[in-house]
Amino acid sequence: MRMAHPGARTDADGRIAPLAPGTGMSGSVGGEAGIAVGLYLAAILAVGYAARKRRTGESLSEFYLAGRQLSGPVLLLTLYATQYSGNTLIGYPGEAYRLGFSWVMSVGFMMAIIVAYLFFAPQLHHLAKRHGFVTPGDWLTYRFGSPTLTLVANVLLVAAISNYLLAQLVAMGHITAGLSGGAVPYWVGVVLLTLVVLVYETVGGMRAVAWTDALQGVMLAVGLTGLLVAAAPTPDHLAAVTTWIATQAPEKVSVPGWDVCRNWFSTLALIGFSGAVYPHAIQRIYAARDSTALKRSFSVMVFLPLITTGSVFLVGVLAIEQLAGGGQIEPDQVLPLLLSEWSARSPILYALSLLVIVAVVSAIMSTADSVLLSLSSILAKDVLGTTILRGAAEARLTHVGKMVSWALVAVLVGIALNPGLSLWGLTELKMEILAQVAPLFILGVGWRGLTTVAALSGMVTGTAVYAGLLATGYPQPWNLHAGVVAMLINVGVCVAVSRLGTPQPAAV
Amino acid sequence: MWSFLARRSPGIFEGDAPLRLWFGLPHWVVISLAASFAVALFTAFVVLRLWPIQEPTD
Repeated sequence: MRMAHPGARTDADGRIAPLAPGTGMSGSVGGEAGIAVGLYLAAILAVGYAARKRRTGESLSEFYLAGRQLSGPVLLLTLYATQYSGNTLIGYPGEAYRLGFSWVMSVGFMMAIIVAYLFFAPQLHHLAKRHGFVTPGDWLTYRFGSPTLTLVANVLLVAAISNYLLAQLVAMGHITAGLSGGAVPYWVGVVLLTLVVLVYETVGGMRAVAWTDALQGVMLAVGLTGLLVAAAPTPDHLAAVTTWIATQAPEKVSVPGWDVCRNWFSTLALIGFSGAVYPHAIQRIYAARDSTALKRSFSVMVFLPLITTGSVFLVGVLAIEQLAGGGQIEPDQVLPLLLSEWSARSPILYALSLLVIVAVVSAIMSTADSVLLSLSSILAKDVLGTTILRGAAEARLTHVGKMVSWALVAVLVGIALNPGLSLWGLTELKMEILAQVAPLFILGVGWRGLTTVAALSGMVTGTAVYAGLLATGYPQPWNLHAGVVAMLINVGVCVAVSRLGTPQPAAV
Repeated sequence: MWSFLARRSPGIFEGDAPLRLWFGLPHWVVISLAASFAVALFTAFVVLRLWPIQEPTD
């Protein structure tokens, strides 16, 4: 996920370069956007400290799960802000601009995650409450009773979401550099925004993350409203734009072929199953106050893609006509260029553009904080807590977890300051690795017949198949994601080995 | 649910059909969005009405 930003273009290497003077998004806009972001950062730090005052102890569940007391509205907003990263606001309009109306399929992406939750979330929530699960590994140990399986799954989870966190750090740098028109260097953005996340997370844990996510979720919703108001897509306007696109680029209006649709289905399956087993999403299932809070938040959450992804889809489609004649435009530049145009039109649109900018920063930070907290919990409790800190008090593990967060971020910031890999590639890699862990939750909760040997065999086979397909140059065989093909084989192995092997007493 | 999700694919429509506009959008886009809304409604119904309240037994 290579992030772009208002007031900047990327060169051939994807580096950010400021727009030339007179392009409508000059340094003054960047400066005021910087003030808006600065106020926002001050607000979330204040929220983080307020969350600290509500802390009732130093236990792992208090720090990492907010004492299992997240109410429905907070749970909804934290899930919302966490699931929609900066890529939703920057990348999705760009894809709609590039692909046209077929990008309507993206509305189903986030919806698929909630559909996947139907298979396991309620039971997992009950079990987490009863048995005191804190990390995804706690469920795996409880269900399968195999340290090897838990270790392999944790390695995959940590590898996958470390990539995700790295992508957010890089995005922070690009956004900040862009907002300042290049005055604030990329590295300052990475370090400054990461430091803010670290501070409120260290002082307040999950409660601070959830509360700031709630604020960030509101900012995201307000920013999207700003986008829609700025774009003002009335039916007449849409009809004119659609007719224009049909004339100029008919392939962007026509129904996509089956090969494209097959890839969409693959993407739906990948995002649905992988997104549902994000460690930070699993921990929010654990952290819900009760079943009612979980049910209410999910029942609202499932409609949000229509508003969120639907809005950015429409904005991207409208940009096809609006940005026509501007030469070759990279997809990541679509939203920044639109903001640039809108901000020059009127003071109201200018203010709305600032809201969108803050929403982008919110989306990135809300994803980063949740992923970081989850990584910290896995490393402190599942890795250190079962090895060199075995038997340590929870307060000690919590303290170590905080230090782990800082150390981990130091390493990732070091990498983010010298990004040598395609971040979009890292993001896709993350989803496809997570897909190999998904059966442990979905089948593990729903099917008592799944044995430990079968689950481990399936996960290892799926991961090996995925790695093999990538290594042999088949990232998308038959237009399906290699990770989805590997997940199907993973499930096949789980079923076959469970049927052929010796039944074992099920934990659920 | 997954088959329902699949059925919202734009691919179920003919590729060479003439352009028809509904609410300013190609008709298949509106149908696709409506199907998404239907999926959301059904999912919300399942979550609110059919999710188990009682705790599972070990």
